Amino acid sequence: MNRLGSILVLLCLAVSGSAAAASKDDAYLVNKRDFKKTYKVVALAPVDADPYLEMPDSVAAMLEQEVTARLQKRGYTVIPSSVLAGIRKTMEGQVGGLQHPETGEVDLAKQQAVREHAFRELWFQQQFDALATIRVTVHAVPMESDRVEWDGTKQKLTYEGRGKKYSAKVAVSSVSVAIFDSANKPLYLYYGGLEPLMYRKQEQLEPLTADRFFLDEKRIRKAAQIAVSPI
Amino acid sequence: MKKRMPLLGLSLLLAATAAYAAKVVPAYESPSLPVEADEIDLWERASSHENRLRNAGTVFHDRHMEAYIEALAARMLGDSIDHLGIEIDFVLVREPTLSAWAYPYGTIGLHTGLLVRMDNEAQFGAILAHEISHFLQRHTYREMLDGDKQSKVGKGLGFLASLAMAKETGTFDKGVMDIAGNLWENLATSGYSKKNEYVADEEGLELMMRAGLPIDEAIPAFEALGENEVYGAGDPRKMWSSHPRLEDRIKNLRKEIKRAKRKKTFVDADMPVAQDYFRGIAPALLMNARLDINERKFRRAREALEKYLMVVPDDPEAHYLVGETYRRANPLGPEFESCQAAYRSALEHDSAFAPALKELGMTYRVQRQGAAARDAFEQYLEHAANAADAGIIRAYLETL
Repeated sequence: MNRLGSILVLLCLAVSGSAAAASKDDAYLVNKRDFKKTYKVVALAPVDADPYLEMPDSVAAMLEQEVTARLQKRGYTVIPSSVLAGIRKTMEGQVGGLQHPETGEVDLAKQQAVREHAFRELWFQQQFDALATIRVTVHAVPMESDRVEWDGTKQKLTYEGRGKKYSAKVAVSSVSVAIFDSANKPLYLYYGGLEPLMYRKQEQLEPLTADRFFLDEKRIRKAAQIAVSPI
Repeated sequence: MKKRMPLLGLSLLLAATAAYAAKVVPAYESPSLPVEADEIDLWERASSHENRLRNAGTVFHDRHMEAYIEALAARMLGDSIDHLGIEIDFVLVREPTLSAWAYPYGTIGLHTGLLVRMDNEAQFGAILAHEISHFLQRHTYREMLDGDKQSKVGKGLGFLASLAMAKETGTFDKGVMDIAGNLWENLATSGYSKKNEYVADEEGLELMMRAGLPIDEAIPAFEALGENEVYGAGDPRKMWSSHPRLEDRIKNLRKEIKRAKRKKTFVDADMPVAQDYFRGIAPALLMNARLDINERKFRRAREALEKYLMVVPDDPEAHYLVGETYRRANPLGPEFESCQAAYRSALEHDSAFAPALKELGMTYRVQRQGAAARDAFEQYLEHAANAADAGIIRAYLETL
């Protein structure tokens, strides 16, 4: 599927799947006071992104840094994602690697087994109360006169060539932070808007190429900060 | 499941054709094929929608279950089955929410979540009869002719159908929904008009009686719809329980039941045996329990598994899944007795049932019961030496 096709699919999915929290109060899926009382030590899972975005490791590090800083500032003890990443790596070795030795394709059953056992092993090995996941997601938001406002951020679409301002739905990325308890029950979910994934080319909306994502460090950090701002 | 259930014949079709001209839409007491261009268009678009749903990969096929539902519908339609015209078909969707809907040409859509929430054949029959009535009464077409003035009265079955389809097809399909002035979209977001819902309620009771089902069971069936839970992004509760309309509908049903019972011809039917129903829908009970477990609806899953085990007590997978409902709710304990008992029940029925052996080992490991964990893991590897996680389990064994 070409990039435009991917964007269209993502837009379609977003119509039913976009789930940005409307206000900071909505971020807590359990009583906020109980959350703060019950959960003191938070482990982080490695930062994940929609494969379409081709997120560089340096961006993942930035996002984790911002989330960690906020959690620590609020008095939480944080177990870095490197702990879970280490367990995963060990387990990948135990199953003989995730790639098929001949075809080089990822063995999905092994990948799933490693993922599931690694989470369970983290809970078995470490003393912590909740697990936080950080993910860069793609969804669609309405654009009014070339401006988009979503998940706590406002931006204007870049454009090439002249054309009238118009309104449509555009694909954007957001940073989501979700926190779960040991039974995988969601406790917290909030989004921070990152950047539009499309630009105006005269009268058309065109998808940006992946090399034009994640270029603005300030935006990246701000998106993570918004996603943890209710904490 | 392409058993065709014909309805009525030519004379009524001619009468219907005459009535079309005046835009007075007769019921399909009766139908045959539509003759008006707008109704043909409606059928084509709905059919395209159904095809997309069927190709989305979430349709649940089980011949035994399909035959059971078809037989129940045949009892409702009675003699009219002998008159050629149109057919009733079913599309069963793997989806834990409670939803049913009727395509304008007689295909009835059913979520497995709805099937498993019903406690007997009469309750399921009440919903099925209601949907068949929407078809027989040509309510989709009537709504189209009426425009949107009535269809915004309340919310109903249509929204859930569309929500489900949006999930399954990846998009809320306005291309199909938006028929003749947003008709289908209105149905999708607002349900049928109050009048048409009441007509379907009333005719639904008639169909239940024809099938020999106790009509009182329509009440718990509709009440169960109000207990629809939140799954994923949608909130089906808003469609049913929080809207006064469901209460109105139940109130109306009570009135209709009383009226039906006052008729001299009324014959009270016996309560059907619950197990007969559970046997009929057994594959859905097991499959939907898996969906509910994945959605962390553990109590719901356990209820479905209890129904399943009443009629298929020897299935190790069902016992294992009961164990999963307990373990996943509290994976770190401290209580492991319930899940371990369920895993052991699975192994009593099949001592080589690998998933139960593994989870037994995993729970013993969390409890630091090294010997018991070792025993379970060794048996697991004996029966699942090539499992994707075999290497990980071997590594666990080295630490015990």
